[in-house]
Amino acid sequence: MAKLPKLQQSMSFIQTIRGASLDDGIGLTGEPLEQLRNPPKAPLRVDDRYTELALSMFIALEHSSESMYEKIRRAIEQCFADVELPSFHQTKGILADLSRVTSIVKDMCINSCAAYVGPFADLNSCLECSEPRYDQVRFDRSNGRIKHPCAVFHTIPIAPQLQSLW
Amino acid sequence: MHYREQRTHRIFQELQRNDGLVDTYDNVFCGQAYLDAVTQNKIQQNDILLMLSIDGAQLYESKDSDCWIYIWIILNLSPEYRYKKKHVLLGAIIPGPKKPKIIDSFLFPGLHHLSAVQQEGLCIWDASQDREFISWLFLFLACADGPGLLTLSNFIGHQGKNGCRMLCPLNGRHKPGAPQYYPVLLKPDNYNVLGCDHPDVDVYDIGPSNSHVYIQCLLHLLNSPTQRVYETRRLETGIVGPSILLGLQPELIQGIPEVFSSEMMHLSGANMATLWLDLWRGKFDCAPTDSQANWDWAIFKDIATWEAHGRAVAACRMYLPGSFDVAPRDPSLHANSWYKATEYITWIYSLCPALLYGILPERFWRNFCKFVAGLRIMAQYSITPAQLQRACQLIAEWEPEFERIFYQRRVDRIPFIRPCVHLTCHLASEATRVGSPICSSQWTMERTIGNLGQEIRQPSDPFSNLAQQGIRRCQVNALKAMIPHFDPPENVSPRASADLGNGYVLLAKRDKHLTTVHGDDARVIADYLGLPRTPKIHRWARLRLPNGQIARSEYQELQHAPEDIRMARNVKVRQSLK
Repeated sequence: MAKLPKLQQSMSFIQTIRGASLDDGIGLTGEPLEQLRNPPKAPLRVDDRYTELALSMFIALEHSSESMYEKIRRAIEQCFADVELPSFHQTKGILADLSRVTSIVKDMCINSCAAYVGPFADLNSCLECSEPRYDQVRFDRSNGRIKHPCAVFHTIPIAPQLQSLW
Repeated sequence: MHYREQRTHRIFQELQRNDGLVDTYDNVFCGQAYLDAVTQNKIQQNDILLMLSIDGAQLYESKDSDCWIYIWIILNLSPEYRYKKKHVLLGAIIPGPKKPKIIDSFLFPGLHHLSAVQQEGLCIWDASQDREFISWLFLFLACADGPGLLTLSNFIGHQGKNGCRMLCPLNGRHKPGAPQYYPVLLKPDNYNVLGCDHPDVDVYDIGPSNSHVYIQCLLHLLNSPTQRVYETRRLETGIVGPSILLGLQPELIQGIPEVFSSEMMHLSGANMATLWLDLWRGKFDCAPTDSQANWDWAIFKDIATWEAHGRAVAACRMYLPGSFDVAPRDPSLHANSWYKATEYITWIYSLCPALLYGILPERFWRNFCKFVAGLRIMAQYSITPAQLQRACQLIAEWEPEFERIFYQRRVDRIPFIRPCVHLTCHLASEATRVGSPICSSQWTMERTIGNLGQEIRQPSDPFSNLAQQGIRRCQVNALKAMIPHFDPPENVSPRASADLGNGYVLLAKRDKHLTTVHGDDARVIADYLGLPRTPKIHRWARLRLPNGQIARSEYQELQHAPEDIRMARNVKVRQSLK
């Protein structure tokens, strides 16, 4: 109904949001979506005590560096010969799996004008500043096969976070 | 997670007991908006109420670190928990370096996700009851400071003719030839600017708008056939474009503009504080038709008075217990450095009524005190209906008087009546609508920005690092919620402490050896204990009270120079006059 382009654009974002469905492939997909619809019906447990130790260390060292974690891990492994602890990156992965919290990653303009979502999802350059969406060097070298976005941003969907609270 | 259910039940009991009044306004659930939604079954027992809060932030001093952050606050949690870092859900971090031109597109993924879940319902398994249920996510409030709110509301903003953040019907007035409108209630003398020359507005007529009016105005705007017509209608309606929040499922959002409310933090800690200071320091632009010599209230134009005041403020530091947070520094020395909102609040609303007595001419001082008395009630976490009525009356007296004594119906002084003056008038009615204003203020958001900024590890690539830190925080919080032993309680009884029961804990330092007490002290203690002589005792330095404040004893306070301590031996004396 809106007649001016700017207003039409706003309305089109609104209409896409209003008509949203979990199955439209815009937000969560695959396993995270499956888990969202079927939350586990038993208390979450970590069966392996070394994984548990690694997670406790990881959480306690939230404000410290990766190398701090690795130093403590090595100290423990040296002291107890049969202990093998997951590395920092492995623990990060375990945390992501257990918590079921992921992020939705979307491309955006390198000058932070707009994000390539909704009505802009298929654009190849920014409407405002005409900067290309993808890394041009890689794009050209691969004859347009590699579409590596110049910039992305993360949205953390709330539903999985809410599910964990009960 | 069953707090909302229990609290709602109690509120309905209160309403029955007190002829339709709540005991206190201390939560969004006490407001009419929530209670109506529950009565009309729009919000049901299993539903989750959300508050969205957004803000632009500069992560550290470099300008290149500008970004926007939004968070979700879960209103189902009790207020003790819901604003804490552990329970605040991060929505997204919208990277800079520039201000987004089309902010809707950055809000899109998060709102799209919410809307999709609103369509289908969220399946939740409650571990405490081994029960599965469907919950509907209801967006109850959306908060931001002035500029931040416009990203969600798409209103014209505070300089417009309909400049109110809640889009109330009050029309502003502007100086002839100047583009900016001000929410002036009293009609200026000899004033006939077209569209602004309406008669005086009664302060009691200021109230919220509603979504029916909004939708009609919006349709009118959307139908604009040309840019020119659009601009006229934009001025008329105060709407720039449709709010992105219209995308959410209409039965699961409070409505626009109802979803927006007051914002107490910036109002008290920034905007009103600056207004008073600009008046006292004579910092307003003086129109050629005006003369600063007539500004009797500009007491701090005199440098000596200003500096003396600054020293007095700084000297109060030692008498402000630590529970007042940062004590205000000498404003005459630190006015340009980052003076915190908390410092402004303590300075202007706690110290100034006393420090300006006898300095500010009496009628200005009285008017200021009326404002402070009203605002202090409105800033309480818990407001009784009687207090609220008092605050409403104080503010309603203060505003027209403020206009009469400062702006004096003078066209050239219209800019004295800044938007925050108008927003103050909304506070009381907003409290009856959505609970005490502090519940929907931006303090949580500002705190979140602060602690996210501290976690940045790689200043070379701040945004992606920030996003990773944010995601990790959410994962850790989710894990802690599911497996509580990953979240051991913080040090509850610190080293060398003694729990006295009833929430009182003695804290270090403590005498190493038993000491003998002499004189009056010995007599008082012996009397209290009902013993003929005072036994030898250990003296303690600090006592944690049930409310979390820490009282200190003279024993250690006297060991420090008076400038180095924040005295915490204050006694509040209440005198009841009959």
